Amino acid sequence: MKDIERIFKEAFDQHEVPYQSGAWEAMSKRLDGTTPTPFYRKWWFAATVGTILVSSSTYFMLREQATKPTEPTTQTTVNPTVSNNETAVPLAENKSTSTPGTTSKTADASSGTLIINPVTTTVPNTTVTPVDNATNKITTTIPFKGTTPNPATLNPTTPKTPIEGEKPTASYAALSLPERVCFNDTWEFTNPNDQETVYVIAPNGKQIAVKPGKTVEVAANQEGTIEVLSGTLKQEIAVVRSNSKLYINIDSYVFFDNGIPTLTFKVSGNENPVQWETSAKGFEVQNGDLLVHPYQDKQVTAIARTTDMNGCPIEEKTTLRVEQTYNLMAPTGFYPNDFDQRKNRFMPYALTKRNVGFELIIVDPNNGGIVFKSNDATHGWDGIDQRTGEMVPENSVWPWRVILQQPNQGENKEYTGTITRL
Amino acid sequence: MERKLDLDEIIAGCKKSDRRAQEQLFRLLYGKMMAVCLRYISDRDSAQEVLQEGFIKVFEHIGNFDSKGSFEGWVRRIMANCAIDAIRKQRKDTLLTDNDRDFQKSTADEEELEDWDITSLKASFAMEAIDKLTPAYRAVFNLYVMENYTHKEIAAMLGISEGTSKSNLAKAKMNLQNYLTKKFNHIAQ
Repeated sequence: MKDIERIFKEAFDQHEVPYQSGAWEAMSKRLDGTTPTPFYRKWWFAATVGTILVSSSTYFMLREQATKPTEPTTQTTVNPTVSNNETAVPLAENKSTSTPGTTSKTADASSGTLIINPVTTTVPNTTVTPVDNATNKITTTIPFKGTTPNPATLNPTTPKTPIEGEKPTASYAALSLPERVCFNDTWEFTNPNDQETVYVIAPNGKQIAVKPGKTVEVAANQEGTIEVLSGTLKQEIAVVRSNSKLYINIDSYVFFDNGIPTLTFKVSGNENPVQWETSAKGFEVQNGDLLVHPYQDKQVTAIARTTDMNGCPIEEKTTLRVEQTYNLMAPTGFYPNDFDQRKNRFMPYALTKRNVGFELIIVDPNNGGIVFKSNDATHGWDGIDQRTGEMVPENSVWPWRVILQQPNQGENKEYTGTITRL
Repeated sequence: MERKLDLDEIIAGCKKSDRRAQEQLFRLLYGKMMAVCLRYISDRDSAQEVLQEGFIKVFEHIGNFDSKGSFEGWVRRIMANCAIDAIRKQRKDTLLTDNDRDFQKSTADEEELEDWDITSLKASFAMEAIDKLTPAYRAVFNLYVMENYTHKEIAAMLGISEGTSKSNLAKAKMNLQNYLTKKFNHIAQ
C-alpha cells in the first residue's frame, strides 16, 4: 500500500481500451473538416459550392465542347461521395491540413480550387483518363500539376474498406486452460498475447497481472477457483481436492520371512498404481506392496502415493514403532546338556534360515580369546571352550559376534549379543 | 489480412500526410491513448473528443518528432496536454482548486466485491479510484505519476504554484490510498 504511485503505474501500464468501431471514421471526418459543429456547416457549404461549380463547369463544358457529355454527369455524382468517404484528397493537397483552423481557412480562401480538386482527382481514379483533358481545358484555375501525382496518394483509399472492423485493437489470444488444477499443485500460466495483459486471480483472491509473454505460478493451496480474465472473457479453473482416499494396511507386525524381519504395507481405496516411500533402509516393493525390513530401525514410516481419477495426487502416510531390534533372532541362553537339539546348541536362529555367509565367534570376555568359531549354520556352539576342550561353567555369560559376508540392503555387517550357558 | 505496417513506416507515412498511415497510427494507438484520455476525463464522449484533438495535433506536428525518443511517449504527452486543455476549457477553475472535498461519496461500493490484492490493481479498478478524485488532484496525479512531468512543468501547465502541485499530489495519493483501504477493508469483512 505504501507504494501507491507504483501500484497505479503498474495498473495502467499497458492498459488499453478496446477499439470502438467508428472511431476512425469519426476521426477521419474531423481531419477533413474542422471542429465538430462548424464542420457540418462547412461540409454543406463545400458541397453546395462544389455542386454549383461542377454544374457550372458542366454548363461551360457542354457549351464549349459537346464531345463528352457523359463525364460531367459522373462528376456530379462523384462529388458528394467523395466528401462522404473522407478521401485523402484535401489532405494531400494542403501541406498543413491537420489543424482544423488551417483547413477551414484554406477552404474558405480557395474554396473554388479546393472543392473541385476532389472531382479532378477522383475522376482519373474511378473513371476514364480522357476526362483529364476535358477538365484541363475547362478550368484553368485548377492546379493540375499537383493533382497528377495524386493517384499515388489516393491508392491507399481503395483497399481501405476491408480494414473496417477487421482487427480490433484489443485482440486476446485464445487461452488453453486446464479444466481443473489439483489442490496443492502449482499451476503455471504464460500469457500468450503480444500486447494484452491477462489477469489471474488465485483462489485466495490474490490478483496477478500477467504481462504479455510473462509466466506466473499460481499455487492452488486453497479450494475454489482460479479465475483468468482475458479482456472481457472470464474463465475459471476449479481447484479440486482428490476425491478418494488411500488406506495403508499393515499385514502383520514384524514377520520373519526366512529369518529376515519384514513389515508388509498394503494399500486399499484406490486402484491406481502406488508409489512407495519409506524411512527404512531395507525395503522392497512386491506386487504393489511395500516390504520393509527393519533391521536396525526403531520406527518405520511409509508413504503411499497415487493419483485419483482426476489425476490429482493422493498420499497416505503411516508410521509405526518397531518394538524389538532385530539381532538375528539369537536366543539369550542355551542348555548344552539338554537332549533337545534346538536347545543344546547356540546358533542365532536367523542364520539357520537365511542363506548367507557369516562367521560366528564366541569371545572370552576376560582376555578376548576365541572360545568358539563357526561359519556353518548347522554347526552351533555346544558350550565347549575350544581352547581347553572343557565345557564352560553354568550360568556363565559369553559375548558373541556375527559378521555377515553379504549383509542385505539396509543391514549392518556385524551383530553382537551375549549368551548365557544354562 | 491487411499488411501490418511497421511503426517507422507508419510514422513516415504520417509525415507525408498519408491518410492510410494516419489511420494505421490511429488504430494502433487508439486503445492506449483512449485509456490515457479516460484517465483525465471520465466521460467517454469528451474523452473521445480529446483523443481526436490529440491525434490532430500528432498529425500536425509529427514532422517535428525525432525518432530518438519513444514515439508512444510523445503521443501520450500530447494526449495529456489536450486533456488538460479540455478540462481547463470546461471548467475554468477546477484545476486551481485545492479544497478538501476529497472523494465524492461512492455509490459503487456496494456493487460488486471483488478481491483485490494490495500489491496489484486491475486497471479498471485503478480507473475507478482515479475517477473519484477531484479534477485538481486527478490532473496532478496523472501528470506526475503517469506522464512523469515534474512539479515545475505541472505548475506551468496548470497555472498553479509548484507548492500546490506538490500538495495536490500528496492529497491525491492520500485519497487513493484511503479509497483502496476502504475497499479492501470492505472485502476483508
